[in-house]
Amino acid sequence: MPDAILGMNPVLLIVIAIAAILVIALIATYNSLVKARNRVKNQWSQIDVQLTRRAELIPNLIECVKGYAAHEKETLERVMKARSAMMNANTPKQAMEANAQLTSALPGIFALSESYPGLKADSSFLKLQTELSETESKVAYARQFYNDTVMLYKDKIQQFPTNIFAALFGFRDEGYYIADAADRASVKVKF
Amino acid sequence: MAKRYVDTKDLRRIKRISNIAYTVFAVVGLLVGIIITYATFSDYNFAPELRETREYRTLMALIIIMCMECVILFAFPAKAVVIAVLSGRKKAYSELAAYTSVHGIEYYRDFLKGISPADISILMDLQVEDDKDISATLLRLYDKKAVDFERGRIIRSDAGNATLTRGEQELLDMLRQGNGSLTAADKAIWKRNRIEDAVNAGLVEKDPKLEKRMPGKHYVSCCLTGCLSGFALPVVAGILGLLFFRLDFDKIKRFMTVEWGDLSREWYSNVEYLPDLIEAFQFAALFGLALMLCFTFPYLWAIRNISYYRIRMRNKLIRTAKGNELTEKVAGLKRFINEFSSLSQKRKEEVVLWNDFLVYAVVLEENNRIIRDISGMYGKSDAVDTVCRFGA
Repeated sequence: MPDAILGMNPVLLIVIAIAAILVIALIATYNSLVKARNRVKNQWSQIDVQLTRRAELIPNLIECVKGYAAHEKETLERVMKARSAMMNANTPKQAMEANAQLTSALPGIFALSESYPGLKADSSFLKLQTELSETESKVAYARQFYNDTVMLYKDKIQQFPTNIFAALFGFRDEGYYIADAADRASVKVKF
Repeated sequence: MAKRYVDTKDLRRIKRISNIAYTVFAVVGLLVGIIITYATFSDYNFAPELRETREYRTLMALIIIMCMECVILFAFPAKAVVIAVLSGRKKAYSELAAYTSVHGIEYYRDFLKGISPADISILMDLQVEDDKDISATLLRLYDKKAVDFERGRIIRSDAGNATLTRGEQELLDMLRQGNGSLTAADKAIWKRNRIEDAVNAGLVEKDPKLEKRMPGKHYVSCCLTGCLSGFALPVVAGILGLLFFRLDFDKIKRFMTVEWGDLSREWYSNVEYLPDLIEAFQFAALFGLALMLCFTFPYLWAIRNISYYRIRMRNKLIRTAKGNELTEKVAGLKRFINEFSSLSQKRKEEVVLWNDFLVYAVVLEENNRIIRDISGMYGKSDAVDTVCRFGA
């Protein structure tokens, strides 16, 4: 083997060396793309964890509210519908839409506490309200990080020369998690 | 329970310098090797019809070996000293950044409640840095609405009513006394107090081993041990070699007596001699290297230890079990911020969106822009302006 290498044409050796460098660069680029895509998926799964936790808190909240305001059927049904949509969501887009529905339906339940003093003073209700609020804030941060990972991934698949490899190996674009109308409304400042 | 390291700036820098130093030495050594080889074999006739012969291949092997050995041997003393110094520094910085992974946390994605930015900084690399940690604390105060940044100045704000930690309150007091700027003495006091806080909180403690050492004593002991073993080791190696091994110096002698001019001009007649020569060359080079290492290793060991203690004697802290557990989270948080966000690009105003995550990015060396911005503010001493602005 060493004899065969030493006896080779130097030009051929240089060509082989350049080809080897190119192959290594290709492998490194491919791996970095896979890493970026996996980070997007991983960060989405973090949002999913928080959304699931949020959805799991809803039945307890409904039970708690029913004890005081069973006849507020419409509000309760709206929340349960949004919850089941979230639980049945198969794609990130569906989950985002369901979450938007739930976010807009939940204030209706919390508003009930103003009309029912017993509910407002209920420790379970207050605890659930705090937990839901914390989860919502966690969803918000997870979404910010998700959007950042998507941006880093997009940068990679759109910049030259990685865009060539990305197109070649079928790395598809990922969508940002856009804040829904309810979220946007909640940042209004009152003077 | 695996030993892991926080990816600190010091550790990264020392690794980068090491890589540059090794590459420069290797490249220069290779160039010298090529020049020597060219000078030695410039008279050799590289006729194409000879390329298939065994002698040609043997000669090529000799050239490659010469180049490789030049890479190793070129500027060996200077190279060895640089490597020893870098190795000592790397050992010290690694020790400062090392923690034991108990829970196997790869990424930590939540807030670290009840821990100040200075505590995080101490847990990361067992030290408090002036600008980084003060900037992070000021950013947190800005988030709590205790201070505001206006036209390149830090101004006191009474909008926030959040409770402040001792470090935050102390920093505010210092800024008030300094009319919005901090002196070197202020920074030193603040840093010392933060370390005291971390010790009192049970996050870190003084290393009893390092604490026992007398200042300067370790340098003397390193030098003496290095010098004594520098003499002793070759003598012991020589005695052992004479007693237990039959040293064959024939090959080295043959190598030393080769006339390189004859080899290149009349190599056809020396063809049978070449394979032996390659062996002799390698043997001589390895022997030379071993001899050099034997003499220089103890000195290098002393240099490495001095380099290590120079850093460690300035910082004698170690993590407690509680501190180690938190360090695991801090390291996970740093990895998370580094890999899952672009917080390095964010501006200080964006703290309203990111809250403590941006503060963590600053304190965990992931955002230098904010450090530059904020440290430029308290560094200014335009007293006329700040007297009015930094109200009590």
